[in-house]
Amino acid sequence: MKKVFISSYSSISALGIGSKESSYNLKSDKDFIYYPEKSDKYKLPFFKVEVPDYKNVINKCSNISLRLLSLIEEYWLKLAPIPLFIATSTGGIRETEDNFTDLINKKCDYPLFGKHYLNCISDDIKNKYKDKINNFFTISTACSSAAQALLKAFLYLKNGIIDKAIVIGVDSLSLTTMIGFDSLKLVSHSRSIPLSLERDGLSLGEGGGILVLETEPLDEPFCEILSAKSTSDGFHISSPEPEGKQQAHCIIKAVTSAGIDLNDIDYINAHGTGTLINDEVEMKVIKNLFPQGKTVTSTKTFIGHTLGASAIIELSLVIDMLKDDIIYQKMGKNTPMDKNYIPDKTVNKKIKYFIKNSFGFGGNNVCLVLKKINNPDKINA
Amino acid sequence: MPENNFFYITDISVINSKIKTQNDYIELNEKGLFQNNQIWESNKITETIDELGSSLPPRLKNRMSLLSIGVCDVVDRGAGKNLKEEDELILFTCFGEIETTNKIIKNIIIDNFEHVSPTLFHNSVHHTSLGYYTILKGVNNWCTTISDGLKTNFSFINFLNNNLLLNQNFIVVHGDEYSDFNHLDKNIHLDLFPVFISYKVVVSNNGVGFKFINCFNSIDELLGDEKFKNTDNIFMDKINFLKFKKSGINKKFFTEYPLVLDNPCGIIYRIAMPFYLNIKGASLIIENINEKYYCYEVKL
Repeated sequence: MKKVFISSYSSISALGIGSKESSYNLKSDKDFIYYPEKSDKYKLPFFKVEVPDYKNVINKCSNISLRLLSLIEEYWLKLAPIPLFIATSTGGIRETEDNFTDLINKKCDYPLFGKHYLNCISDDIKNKYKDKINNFFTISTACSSAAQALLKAFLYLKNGIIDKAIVIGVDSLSLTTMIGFDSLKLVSHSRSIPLSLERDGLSLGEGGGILVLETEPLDEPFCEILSAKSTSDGFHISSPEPEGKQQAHCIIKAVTSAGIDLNDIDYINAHGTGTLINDEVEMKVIKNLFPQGKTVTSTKTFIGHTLGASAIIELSLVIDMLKDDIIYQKMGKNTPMDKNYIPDKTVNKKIKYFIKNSFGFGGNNVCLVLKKINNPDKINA
Repeated sequence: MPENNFFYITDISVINSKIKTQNDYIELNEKGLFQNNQIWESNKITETIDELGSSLPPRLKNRMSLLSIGVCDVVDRGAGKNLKEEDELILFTCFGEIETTNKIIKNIIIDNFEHVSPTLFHNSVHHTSLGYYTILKGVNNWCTTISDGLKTNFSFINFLNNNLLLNQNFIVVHGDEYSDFNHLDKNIHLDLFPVFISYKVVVSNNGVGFKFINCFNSIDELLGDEKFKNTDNIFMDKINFLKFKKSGINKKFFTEYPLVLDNPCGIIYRIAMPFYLNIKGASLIIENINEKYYCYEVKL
């Protein structure tokens, strides 16, 4: 079995474009949430991303993905051709909405098959990078999409089937997504503070994250992925099973497979959406598995819930945090659900082993176990 | 690089408007449907599948999309029969819950709704179909959904060729539903009707089953290959089937086209055909993507 390393990464979110800007803004007191204007159709606060369009590329997800690739191009082009795994839940829905009225009235010649379905992203990437990218497939399992794509890439690398991969998680917000989540009564009407007693729902976000995985990195890597596991709740389409049995089983399987003990885990980056039920169940699971306490935060506090992109964007931000041995936290005047676990402010903490949880509709659970590799002088894009 | 072993395909189920059971499938084969294009029109599948999901609880069924109903039904009849805890289930769908998405976008953009039905929204998520299956059966298996529109066949090939090297069993599911949404694109005219399949891919320990042979860079390379020359049963997509039938090459040519019409995922059905029809001896399964020919041998 091979070891699998994260050798390069970047992200685009409300915190900024690229690791440098995101890292800088992570440390600031500024809140990057967007409060809609009266004229906006969608009225609830969310975390917005603006990226310039590439020439002839109309999909926002594609533009984010291309921007991500360009941010770390200097590194991954040395590895080309390289397999590409994509994770998304929205694909081209946003652009279909923009053209829908004209489509229905037969007033436009919009290439629906090329721009709506999820392959639009890999097609736009292939058009630019041609034979430098071998695209594998697009995974779509709602909010756990990015984690599932990482899991697949990890397994293929670990078993020596491939020796390198790019994994991109990307999602752009559309009215369908925003109004849909609000209809499920999952969205905060003020501003989400995950893992707090005052939480009243999630705040949606958009953006993308990119990781380069290698078994024999060209350069000193940032982290090693020790294991990745997945289970299904088998309970409800949009709510977690109340006791979190399969979430717990997933974490235990992942930690055991990593060859370490639950006690060895230093930090948990929670799925932590800010909904009443998700955070309650997730913390119940964590407290049962780690009764002595553990540092737990949710990166969604800073960037919102970026849906299919979440696991990879959040891992990128975690890697940035861990370089300085700091866990950033933004609770404001809110109270952590449990202070034995959730800090109420930014803390210094040396971390070796950490977990990334990711849960999605349909009761889809993924847990990744990672090990930090010390390289304080290395700067990423 | 891990070893490229043989795999067997078992617990197959196919559902469309003409097929519910293996007997239906065999009868159509005996009629010559998969070898004779002249009877395709009179046996064309339609958008309505009678009694689909008849075993589902009625209240739940009313809330589910056609894709979810079809996926639950086909897994229940097929690969779900011998489901083990460690089996991964992978759903391939070209277009996902597209009719649900169509309804939601129409509600928001055309009808100006400020809210949508929550059931409709969570049904629009690609992964819901397998999610419903796990809920109905109370199972906790690792489930994934892969979706790439008209290129989902290529995604399947990439997935299959790499996943086989893990040397583990897994379950393949495909499903697509019917939607008027797909007629909104003026430039693409495809016959896309509901069709579903599930099967289990299991490690074979006795040298029978299927395995990936090669990707040929041209038709001439394929025709010159010894495996092609020495194999009588050739399974191809519609276009190559029609081309090769006229070529005069003395082999038995089959195509899955009447099962799926223009659905891009014909390869998922084609690769299971020799197993479902119990065609003994050697077969070749060929998928043409961008003038490259991906080739699998089958030995039964």
